[in-house]
Amino acid sequence: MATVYYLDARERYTQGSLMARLQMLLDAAELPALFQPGDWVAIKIDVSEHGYLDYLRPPLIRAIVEQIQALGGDPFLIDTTYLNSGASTLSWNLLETSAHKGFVASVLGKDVILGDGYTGNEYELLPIEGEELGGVEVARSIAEASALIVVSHVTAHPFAGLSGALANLGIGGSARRGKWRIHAPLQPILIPERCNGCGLCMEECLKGAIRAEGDGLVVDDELCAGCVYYCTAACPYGALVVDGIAAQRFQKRIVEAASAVHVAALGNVHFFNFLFDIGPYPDYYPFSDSAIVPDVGILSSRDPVALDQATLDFIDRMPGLPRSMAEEAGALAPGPGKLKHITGVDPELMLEYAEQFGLGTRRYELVEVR
Amino acid sequence: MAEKAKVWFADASATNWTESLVCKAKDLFYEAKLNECIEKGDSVAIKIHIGEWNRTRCLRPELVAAIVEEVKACGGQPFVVDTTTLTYHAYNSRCTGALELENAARHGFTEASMGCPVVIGDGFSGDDDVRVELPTGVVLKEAYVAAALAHADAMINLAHAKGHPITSFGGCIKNIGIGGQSKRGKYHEHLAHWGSPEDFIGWPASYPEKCLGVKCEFHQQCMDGCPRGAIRIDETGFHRDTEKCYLCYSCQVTCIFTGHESQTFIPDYFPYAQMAMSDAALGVMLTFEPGKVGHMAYAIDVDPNCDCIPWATLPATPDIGVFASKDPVAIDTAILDMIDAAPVYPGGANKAFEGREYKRGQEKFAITQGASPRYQLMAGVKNGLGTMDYELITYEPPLTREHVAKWQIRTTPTTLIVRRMWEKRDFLKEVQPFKRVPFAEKPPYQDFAVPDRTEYLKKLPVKEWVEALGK
Repeated sequence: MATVYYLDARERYTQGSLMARLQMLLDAAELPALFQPGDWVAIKIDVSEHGYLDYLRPPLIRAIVEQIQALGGDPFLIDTTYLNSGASTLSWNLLETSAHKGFVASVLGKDVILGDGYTGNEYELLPIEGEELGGVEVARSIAEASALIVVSHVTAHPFAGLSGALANLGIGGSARRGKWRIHAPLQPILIPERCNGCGLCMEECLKGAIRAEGDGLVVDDELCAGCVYYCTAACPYGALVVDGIAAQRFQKRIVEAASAVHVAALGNVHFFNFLFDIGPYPDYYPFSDSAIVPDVGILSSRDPVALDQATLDFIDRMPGLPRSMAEEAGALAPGPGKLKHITGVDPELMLEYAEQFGLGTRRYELVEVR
Repeated sequence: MAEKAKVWFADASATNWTESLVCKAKDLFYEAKLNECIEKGDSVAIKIHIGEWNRTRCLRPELVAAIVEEVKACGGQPFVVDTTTLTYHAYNSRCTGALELENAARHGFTEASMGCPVVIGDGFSGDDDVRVELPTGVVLKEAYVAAALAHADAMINLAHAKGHPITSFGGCIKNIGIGGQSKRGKYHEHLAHWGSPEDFIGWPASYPEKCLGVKCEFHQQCMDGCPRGAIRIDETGFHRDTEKCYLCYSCQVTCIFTGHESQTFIPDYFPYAQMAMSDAALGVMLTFEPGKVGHMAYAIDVDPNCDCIPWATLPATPDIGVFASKDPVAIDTAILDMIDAAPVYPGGANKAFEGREYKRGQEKFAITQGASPRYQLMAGVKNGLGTMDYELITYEPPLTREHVAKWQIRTTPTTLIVRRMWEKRDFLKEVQPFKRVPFAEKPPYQDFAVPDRTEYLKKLPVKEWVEALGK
C-alpha cells in the first residue's frame, strides 16, 4: 500500500493560504531520501503549448525549486520538446513561448532547460520488455540527474483518459523520438459525415498526411505518424477521432515508457499532482477549455500509480462543472467513471496495466496534510 | 578628524581564479567591512549607473551581481537602483522610469541577471523624492533625494569611476551626488536659475551670433531637444525664453557635440557644478543612519566620458582596479590619484577635445574636461561629507585551495558532476577513433607558418600606427 499525501485547495485565512501550507506538503514528501547534497535534481514541468492558458502557476513551481535548494540539492527545471513546437521544431521556439508565459529564471528561480536537446534528439535509448515497446528514447537530462521530481498539472486526456503522473513521466520524460513511438498508434479516423472540408486539419499536419480527395478529405495511414493533437484539435466539427483500440495501445505505451524513465532516474523519483484548472485537455494542446471539475488541491506520492488512482478517485468524487465538457457529457453528478464519460477513454485501464507492469500499486492510504 | 580614512584597492590584472575582478570585488566588500553596514532583513539599495542607450563602457552586469550576491549573503534584501535623468540630449533614454527599465534590460540589468529587482528610484516621472536640508552645504542648502534611496535601510554605493564632461570626474560622490537625486534634485544641482541669464551659470552660455540658424543641420534637433520648448530658431536666428529654460544641457550638448559654438558653458560653471554635486551627495548620506553606507568603485573602462553619454571613447588610462571604503571623499581622492599616476592609454584623449594630450602625473581629466576634478573633493571636505586624507591598503587575494573555490559557480568542482556523467555513459567512446589524418601522415605545421606581415601592417589606414612601425 502506498502513501498519498493530500493538501486541500481551500484557503480561508492568511496562514491557511496554499503557499503557506505548501511547505507542509513539501516536508511530508521526504525528498532528502532521494538525493545527496550537491546532487543534480531534475524537476519536470510542463511549460505548455502556444495557446494553452491553464498551465500551472509559476510560483507553485518556484516553491519546489526553493525546497530542493534548501535541502542542499542542485535543482534544474526541464521540459522536453513537444511533437510540434508551434511553427518550428527547434527548442528555442518552445522556450520563447514559455518565456512569454512566465517560465523564466526571474519568476521560477531557475531557467527552464529543454531536457532532450535543441532538436529533441538528445536521449538515452533504454530497453523495455513491453507488449508495445521494445525500448524508448529517454530525455538525456533525466538520465544524467540523480533524482527526478515530476510536477504534473492534472487534466483529462482525450486519448489516455487521464493526464497525470504517469503521462508526465512517460510522455514528458521521453525525448521527441520516444514521444513519436508512444503516439504512433493514434492515427485518426476521419468521419466523412462530420467533415466540412474546411482543411484546417490539413494546415496543421506536419507530415502532409491529410489530403483532399473528391468532395472531402482523407487521412493517409502511410504518412500519418500519430501525433494527433494538431489535426484533431484543429477540427471544429469533431470529424477526426481515434478508436478505442488505438487509445488502449497508447495507454500501454505511456506506461511502458514511464517505466523506462523511472529506471533512467535510478528510481529516485517523487511525484506531485496539482489538481487545479482540471480541464479536458493536457498542457501540450493548443487550447485549454473550461475546467470540468472544481479545484481539488495537491497530491503527492513516491508511487505514480497510487497517485494517479487517488487523483481519479478525487475527480470522481467531485461534481462536474456547468458550462464545461462535463455538462455536455452528462457528467455533472459526483460518481465513478467521470473521465471515461467525458473523453470516451477509460483511464482505469491505464492504471491497471501500470500496476501489472510493476510501476506501482493502485491501493493507497490517503494522508491529509493540515 | 586627524584619522586617515581607509581605502582598500585591488588591481585589475589577474593571473588565476582568485584574481578575477569579480572575486577581488567580493573580497574587498569584506576587507573594507562593508558587510557591517547591513543587518539581517535590511532593505539595501545598490546604487549603480545604468548607462545611456548605446553606451558601451558601462559596468558589466556581473560586476554588479557580484555585490548583490554578498548583500544577500549578509541577510540584506538588495535592489539595484538608478534614477531618471534630465533630458540632457535629444534622445535621452533614461528620462522616464519606463524608458530607463527598457534601457537597463538592454545593458543586461534585469531581475534575472541581477538576482534582485531593478528599481527606478525616483518613480515614473522622477518626482518621487524626499527633501533634505543641507545646513553645511557650500552651494546647495537643500537636496531632493530619490525616494528609493531615502527609504532604504542601507546602501552600497557601487560606482564606475570615469570622467564626465561637466563634473570632470565621476566616482562615488557623483554616483549618489547626481545619480541619487530625483529629477527635481538634478535640476537643482544643475544650478538652474542661479544668478541671472547674463551670468551664464544658471543658464547656458549663449552666443546667438554664433548660431548658424536654420542653416545648421541640427537646428531642429536643438529645438526638439528642449523639454520646455524654450528655443526658437528661425530666419531671425537663435532665441531662448529664459523663463522656460531649466538648464537640462540638451541644447548645449547638441551644439557642442556636433562641433558648433553657440550654446555652451563658461569655465566657471564646472567647479560650481562639482561643489553642488558634493552637497547633494551629502544630502543622500543624511538619509541613512551612520554606518549604513558602503562605497565601492570599479576604475576600469576609465573613459573621459561618463556612462551618461550615448557612446564610449577610448579610455584615459588602462584598467586600474576596484576600490572600497566607508568614506566617499577618501575613495574618490584615492581613485583620482591613481588615475593621474597611471600610464596614459595610447590614443586616449577625448576626440571632441583634439590637440589635448594626457601626460602621466598631471590631472588627466583637467586636460580633457577643462576643469580640475578635485573641486568636488574639497567641497566634500568642507561640507562634512568626508576627508581627502586616506590610507591606501592594497589587497592581494591569497592563492589557496579554499580561496580558489570560494567565489566559483559551485564550491565543489563541477568536474565531479561530469565525471559521474562519463561513468554512466561515455558518449565520446561511442564515436572514437575520431576521423583524422593518421598521426604519422600529419602535415608539417611549418607549412602553415605565415611569414612576416609588416608590409601589410604598413598598409593599414591608421596613420599613427603605421608611422610607429617605421620604415
